[in-house]
Amino acid sequence: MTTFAQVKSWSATEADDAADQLITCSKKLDELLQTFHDDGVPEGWSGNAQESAGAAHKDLCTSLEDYLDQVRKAKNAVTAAEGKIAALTESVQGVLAEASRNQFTIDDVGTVHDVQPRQEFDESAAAEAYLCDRQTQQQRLSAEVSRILTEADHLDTAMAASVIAIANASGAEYDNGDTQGTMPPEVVAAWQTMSDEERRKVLQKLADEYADRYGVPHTTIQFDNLRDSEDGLDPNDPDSHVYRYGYWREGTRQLVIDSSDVSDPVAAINTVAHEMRHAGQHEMARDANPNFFHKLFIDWGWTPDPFQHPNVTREQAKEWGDNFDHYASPPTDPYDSAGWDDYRNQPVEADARTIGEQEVNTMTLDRLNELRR
Amino acid sequence: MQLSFTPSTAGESANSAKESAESLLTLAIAEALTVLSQAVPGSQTATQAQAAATRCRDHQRVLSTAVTQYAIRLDQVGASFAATDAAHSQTISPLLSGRVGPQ
Repeated sequence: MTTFAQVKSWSATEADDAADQLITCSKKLDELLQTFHDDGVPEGWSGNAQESAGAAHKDLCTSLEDYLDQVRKAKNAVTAAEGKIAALTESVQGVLAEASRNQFTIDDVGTVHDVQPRQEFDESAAAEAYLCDRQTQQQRLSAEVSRILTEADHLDTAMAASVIAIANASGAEYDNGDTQGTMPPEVVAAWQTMSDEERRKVLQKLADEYADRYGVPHTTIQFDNLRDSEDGLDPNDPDSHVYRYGYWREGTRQLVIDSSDVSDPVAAINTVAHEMRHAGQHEMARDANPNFFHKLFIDWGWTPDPFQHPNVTREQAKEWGDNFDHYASPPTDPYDSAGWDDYRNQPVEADARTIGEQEVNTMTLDRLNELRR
Repeated sequence: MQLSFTPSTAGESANSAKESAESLLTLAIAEALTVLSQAVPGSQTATQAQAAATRCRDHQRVLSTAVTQYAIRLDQVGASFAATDAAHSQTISPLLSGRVGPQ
């Protein structure tokens, strides 16, 4: 149920921008599909190769068509809603102006309050007439607020359904119940106003914060386009299907983040927190497993116990150490669900995903501004 | 089964598919959804749009990867066809050295 405070903050201009962007995307995807459809299978081929290429091409066209279909539906829903959002925001301004003019206020949930100073009357009839008039005005305003909220709910339901449909079309293949987290819109909006250089500085500061938290040296983030590197998708390697957001390499203490994700605050912040957690897991595993002499010195009290990590138990850290010794790398095939399950469910990955999501979920504008300083 | 091929058309189709794969990555659907979430803060649309934005990015990457892989296969088959063509040509060429019969 939408509240009056929420509807007050709706923006027709941004809805208009979103509709325009979806129209552009829909058109671009349509053109892309047409080109791929027309040029996809070499004309000069015949025989089995042509048939195989044709079948593969048809499957790809169907996937693109499914996506286009949902993008079009969302575009239609948002385009249909943009005019209504504009009308709704006008209605909100109208009812607020009328309320103010007649000395009423409307609170966040949409309740109308009479704030006119107490009136004195010589005759009870005049008092009754006055009260009746005020109540009528209040009811009229309440009815208008109610109409606005009902309309807002209808719009919201229609748009949300189309957005959910896009999300569903965008891959049951990676629907594993995990998310990268949800960030407040004001943080996303602030990120969009930042330059690429500024975003990278924020990510570096975040990585440094995590390094301090885990007691490991600071590492300069390496921003690479992982789509083209040997560690990500290699377009020249037919067996390389894996796209990676980033990685931590313990041997060389490298933190690599995909440069194409820097514009996406959820992906970028989640990845930095996730990969730095791996750095921390290695350190904590080492601290939980001192060598024989080191352990002896600790037991005799000659050396302080290095395992000083709040919120992590020694057993957990030892489990991570074992896990790193038998680490299940991600499979090369995105549809190898058993391989992905093995990779995702191992303790170090499950823990790092939790940390990444937590960082995104707890990010606020204040924290972002602090990181920008 | 008849087999025919024109290597250059494989290259053209492969290049076209690679361009499609690149274009898929530039589709700003996630950005449009982010703007939508900012247009209607507090609504379920806003919450769903944020989640959908990440999924769309992932999905476009998967689609782009699949199209790129297709293009690579076309290139490989094209190269293989070209090599076969050259080998066949070498096999046949000795027969082309002279006419049979009275000169």
